Amino acid sequence: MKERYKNRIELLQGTLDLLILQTLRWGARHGYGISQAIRADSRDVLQVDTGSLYPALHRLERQGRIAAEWKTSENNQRVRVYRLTKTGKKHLNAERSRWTQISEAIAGILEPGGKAAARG
Amino acid sequence: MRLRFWRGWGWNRRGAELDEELASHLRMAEQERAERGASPDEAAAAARRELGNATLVREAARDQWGWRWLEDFARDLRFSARALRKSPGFALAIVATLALGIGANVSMLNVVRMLLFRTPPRVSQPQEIVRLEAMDRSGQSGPDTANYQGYLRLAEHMQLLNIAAQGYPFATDFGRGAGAREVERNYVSRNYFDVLGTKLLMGRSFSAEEETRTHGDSVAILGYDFWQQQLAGDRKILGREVEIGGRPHTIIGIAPRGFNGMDPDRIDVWLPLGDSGAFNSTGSWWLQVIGRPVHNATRQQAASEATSVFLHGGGDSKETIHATPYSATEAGPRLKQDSGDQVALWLSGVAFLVFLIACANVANLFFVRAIQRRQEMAVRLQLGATRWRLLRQFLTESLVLSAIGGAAALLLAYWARPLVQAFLLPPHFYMGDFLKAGTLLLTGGFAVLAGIASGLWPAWRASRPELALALKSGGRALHERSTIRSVLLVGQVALTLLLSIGAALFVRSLRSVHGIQLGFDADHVLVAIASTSGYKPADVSAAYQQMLRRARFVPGVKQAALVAYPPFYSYGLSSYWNAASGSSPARDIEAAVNSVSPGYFAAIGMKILQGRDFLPSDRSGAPLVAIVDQSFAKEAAGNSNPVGRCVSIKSGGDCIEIVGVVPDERRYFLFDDIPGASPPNTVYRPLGQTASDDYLSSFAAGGLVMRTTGKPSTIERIAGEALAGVALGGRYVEVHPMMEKIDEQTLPWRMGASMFTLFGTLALALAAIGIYGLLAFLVRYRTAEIGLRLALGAMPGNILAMVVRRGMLLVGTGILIGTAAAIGLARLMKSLLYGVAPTDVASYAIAAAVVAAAGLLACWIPARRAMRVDPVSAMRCE
Repeated sequence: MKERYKNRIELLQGTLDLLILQTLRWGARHGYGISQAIRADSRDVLQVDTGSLYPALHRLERQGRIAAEWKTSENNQRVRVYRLTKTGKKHLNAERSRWTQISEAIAGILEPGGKAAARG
Repeated sequence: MRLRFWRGWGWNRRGAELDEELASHLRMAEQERAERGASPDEAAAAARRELGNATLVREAARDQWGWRWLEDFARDLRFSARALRKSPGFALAIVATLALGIGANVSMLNVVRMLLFRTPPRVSQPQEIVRLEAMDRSGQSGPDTANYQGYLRLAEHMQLLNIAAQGYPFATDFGRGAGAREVERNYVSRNYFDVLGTKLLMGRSFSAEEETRTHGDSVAILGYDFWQQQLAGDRKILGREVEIGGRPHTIIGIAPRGFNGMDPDRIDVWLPLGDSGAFNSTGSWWLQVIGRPVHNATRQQAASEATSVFLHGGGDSKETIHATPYSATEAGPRLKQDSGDQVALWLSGVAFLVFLIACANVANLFFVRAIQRRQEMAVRLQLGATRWRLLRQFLTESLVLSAIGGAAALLLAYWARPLVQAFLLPPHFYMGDFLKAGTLLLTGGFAVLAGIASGLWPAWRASRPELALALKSGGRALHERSTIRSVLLVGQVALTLLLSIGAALFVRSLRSVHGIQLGFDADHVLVAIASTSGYKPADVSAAYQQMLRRARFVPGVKQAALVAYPPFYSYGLSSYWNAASGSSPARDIEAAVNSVSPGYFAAIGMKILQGRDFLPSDRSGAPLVAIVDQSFAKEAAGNSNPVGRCVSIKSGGDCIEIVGVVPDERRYFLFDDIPGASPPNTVYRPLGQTASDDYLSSFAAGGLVMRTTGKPSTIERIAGEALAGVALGGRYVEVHPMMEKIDEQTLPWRMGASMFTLFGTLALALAAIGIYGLLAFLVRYRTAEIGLRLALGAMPGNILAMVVRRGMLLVGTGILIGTAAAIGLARLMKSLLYGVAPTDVASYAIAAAVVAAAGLLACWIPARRAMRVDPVSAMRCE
């Protein structure tokens, strides 16, 4: 049963990290906020389940790409809030350009004409 | 004793934070749903559904911390501790077995290291120290390289070598009167301790002026052991005056513990070079020059510099000086042909066998435990535990036990130090510090080895996935399960037999060694040796005569007599004798010569076979007489009566009449197989006729032998005190049982016999426990079957035979294999044995019988229990 989660993490690895970092780009958020943001920004297409989200958050924290601290939220709840670090920003930029390359490459394969047009 | 050490690392805090984080997530999800209009119950359920399995989410998150393995390890440790606490008997048995096995090895390997890889204690970088040797063209060399002037010249001109000088150790007198004793002294230059890098424990070294003082007061530095043992470690000893070698000395320093210079021979006192009688002599080269290269000089550079200094100073141009590492033997491993060292090597091999046996036993115990826990294992496998996880659990358990066993072994080895010192090491051997990195590493290595060797295989078997089947069969399907255990047991029995045979061979060797005909009875003999150097023969004789008279009044002394060369104390001299008389042709007979006083033969326990003892009337002026031993008598007279015949020292010399014949004796070597060690024959002369001869003055009395009524050691001190009162000039008189001297030569066999027996007994006990364990286990698991057999009419005797047969089959196989192995190894042991063939049938038979008897006993107890199984209750249990 645990395997299920593991597989999903592996499937989304890299991509999920990218999404999380991107979400944190404009400010600190807590875990629930991140999951809601991804969901809203993708117009409900992408749903990150908690079994993937929290391991990813803790991994990114260990890698030093995000930092976490406890804060009190608007409605007076203690929440753990994540923000982007400097290395995280660098990583995000690198990953974004890589992602753009990959998606352009894939788009080119899927729509050869489009690619040609783009070149032309 | 809950293992919560990770708490300090904030582990639990972090876990609680994760919980809180997830809880806040859940709460927010709930609130949002509630805001969208869901009922609180629905909102809670939906939020929880969305979160999924909270435990798994938590675990997955924790995995990301990267400390999972540590957490698992901690959990394994905790689980092991709990499991072991539940079966303390099992844990204790394993810890005790391993402690013995590992402890024996650590002790033995320490001994081997000390004997073979000994480096001079308290000398810094001893491998750098070189010895300067003069070598002529033919490559002949001697370690003496200088007289004092030569040494000074070298010291002055050598740039590449920091040099110092030392003489040769020799016995001398220390103190006068009641406290007088014999000490080993050496002369050393004043910078000796500096060059060796040794810091004195107390006081200082000699000054330049003290080094050259040849008369009057001198100074001395004492060895640590001597200071501790003879002077009770008196810290106020510095500045005290003591007479050493007939000269007053002020004690100015104490050497550090263990320091003994570069050689292993014990030194009690270091004296300045000026103390030596040879100090001003230019003829004799009485010093060894040692040095430590400086300015990164090589040995070759130092040697050529030394050679040029030597030649410049008018040295013999045919010679060159070589700088050889001081004792290539001491600095590196030395494999002496000494039987003591060889026996120590053998014993460490034996200790390793004991270790293997211990591991086999522990593995067996783990097998039993694994089988007992197969249901638990099966359940865990079914619940999704991986095999690796179970394996790790088992291994953690065995490693925990072997770690405790290793710690216990360390304690054991520490406690065994006095025994090791007494039985396995030469007297005065400095053991050094016990807790060295090497010892700890060794113990740790053995512990890990034991843990893996004994735990891995049982763990592998116990965690087999097929075990899941065991769940269905109620844990009873166990045919193959005891095969490996049986193989282990057979191996154990074989090794045990090997050790028992070794023990039997050594015990028999020791008996043959003890059975060696000395020709006299040394058991009840005390020997007293007085310090006489520097005195005239007449004074020495007079002093010994006085000691003899005094000795007769010491309570417990039956007889006393004087002898020139007490057996086993000195080699004595030999000369060629001429037995020409009448008809028989003149022949030279080589014989050792000894001089004794009347009553000597009675005192030392030698029977006079023919003729008479010496009488007080056999003095100078009276007819010359001699008593000869049997072999001499045979050489001189053939089969005719030797008494009354004439022998002479040189052809045509004075006729010395043979007046008696005594048995052959061992003079110095217990074993006559040392070629050329000494001539086979002995001629005794009366002290009254030899002591007064000036040119034969070496035949003055050299020792006093006393025959005691009880054990000689009981009156050793009384006799010593009584005799010290009449010693020459208040010098020392050393009194020791003669057996002490002889025992020095039997040490390897005593060591072999006692250690083989000890290890053999240990192995036997372990093997017996192993057999007992296996059979007891089989009987317990077959109770129902046995009950059924009994119910179907089997006689209790049949059951007994069945169990015993099963056990003895293993024992028998082990004995066969062990015997074969022993025969294979026999050749190697040959040189260590005395008077017994390495394939001695009786030894093999006795060892096999002992092992078989122990095996039978181990089978008997579970077999009896099997026989008494009550069929009704056994079957009801099913």
